[in-house]
Amino acid sequence: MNKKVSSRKKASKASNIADVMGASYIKRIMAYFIDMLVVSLVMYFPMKGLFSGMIGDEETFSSLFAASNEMSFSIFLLDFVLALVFILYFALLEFKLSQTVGKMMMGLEVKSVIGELTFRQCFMRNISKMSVMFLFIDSIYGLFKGTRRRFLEKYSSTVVVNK
Amino acid sequence: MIRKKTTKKSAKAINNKYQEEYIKNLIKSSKRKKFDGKKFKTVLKVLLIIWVLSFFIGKAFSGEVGNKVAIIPIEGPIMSSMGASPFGGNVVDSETIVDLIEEASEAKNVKAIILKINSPGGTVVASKEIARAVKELEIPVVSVIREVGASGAYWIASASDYIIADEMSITGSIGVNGGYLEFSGLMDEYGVSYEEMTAGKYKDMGNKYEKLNSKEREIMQKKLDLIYENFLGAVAENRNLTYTRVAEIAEGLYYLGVEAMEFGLIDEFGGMKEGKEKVENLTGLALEEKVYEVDEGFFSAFDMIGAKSSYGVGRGIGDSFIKGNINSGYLSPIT
Repeated sequence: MNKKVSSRKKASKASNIADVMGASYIKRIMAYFIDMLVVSLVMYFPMKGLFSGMIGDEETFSSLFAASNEMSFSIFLLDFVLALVFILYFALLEFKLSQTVGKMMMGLEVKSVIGELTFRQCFMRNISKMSVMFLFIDSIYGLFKGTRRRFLEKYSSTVVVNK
Repeated sequence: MIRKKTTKKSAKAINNKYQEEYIKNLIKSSKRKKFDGKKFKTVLKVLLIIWVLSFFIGKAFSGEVGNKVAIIPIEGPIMSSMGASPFGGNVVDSETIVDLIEEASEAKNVKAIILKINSPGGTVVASKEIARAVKELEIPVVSVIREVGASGAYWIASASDYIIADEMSITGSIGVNGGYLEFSGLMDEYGVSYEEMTAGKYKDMGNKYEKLNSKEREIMQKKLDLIYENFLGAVAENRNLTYTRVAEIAEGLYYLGVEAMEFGLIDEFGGMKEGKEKVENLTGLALEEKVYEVDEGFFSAFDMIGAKSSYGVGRGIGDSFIKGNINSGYLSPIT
């Protein structure tokens, strides 16, 4: 009986939080770019050798990405592993602090709609950050629904709110 | 009077309350500062994890991605795969080298190849096979001759775009050598005779139990001359020299690097460092080295022990008859 009551309470609380509109996309995009910058800076030095070997003297990063379409399985695997590391940055910081560096600077935080925020939720909500294209598609859902919540945020029962 | 006292008391209480709140706020703010420190530490920890992971990923993928120059060592006598096994790791198996060349040229990130040569030569077909594979490559190939790059090994080097050797490296030796073990005298001494049934006059030519007659010698010489001409032609074409010029300087003579430079047999003095600089110049790219060599599995270690011990036994017997020639058994020309 007690359990039922607590679950109802949880559900009502959940619906309250679920009703909260997500924070503005502009703020979130800015936070995302700050995070990109932070992660890129951290990853640049240990990966410097790889990239300098990949890019010739006269080539640019854009030509590297253009060339990556025709690159071998190793490049694909490297892309995948790097994306995982990128996701891990978001998942770990959101799980520990409910915020990433970008979100801290933009005054945003991640909340769980159902109880405490778990690592699984944090990881799940960030999977689309594997590729800009996935993230774009994921974000379009929130625009159409008008809730400012990405599809994966809804799926992982999380929401980004203003702190 | 009592009222005044109570108002004073209440004023004091209010003051105390404000003070309490003020202190609480101070504590809160100091706590917040402490909390921020924790946040900062957590961020640093996560960034450290990301850094460590990136470091290991960078290490793990450094051999797989990025523009590379493939280093293919050709070290030891060059033989076709059939003749290679009894000598274990000391012999260059042409089929393996051709496979490595193909593997490197198919890898999209390999922009150039350096052949690291340290070989006295080898059999004709094996050397020619590798030279052909080198010539067919569409990416720049630079040969770096270490101690020795003579005969068949020079044939291979000549097929590359650029040859680098030390002033004291041994190179050249453009010629063909054909020989075989002949121990008919020994057999006579021990009263051993040899009989072989053959159909075809020269089918038995070059067997190790009989001396060659003049006709057979003439036939063999013609064949060696033919190979020699082929060798000269290949070097002349590869090095942009005239056939006559190569014929003049060849004659089976070996040359030191300084002499080879004079004759146009090499392009530059140096070693691996100069080789890498050259391929970077040719490609216009910063290249990382990746060595392509035979991946020796667990079982090949046993195979190698067996092969080496067999070679040791064989060499013990062979050395008593002939020194410094790999060629044993039926006559097979070596370059």
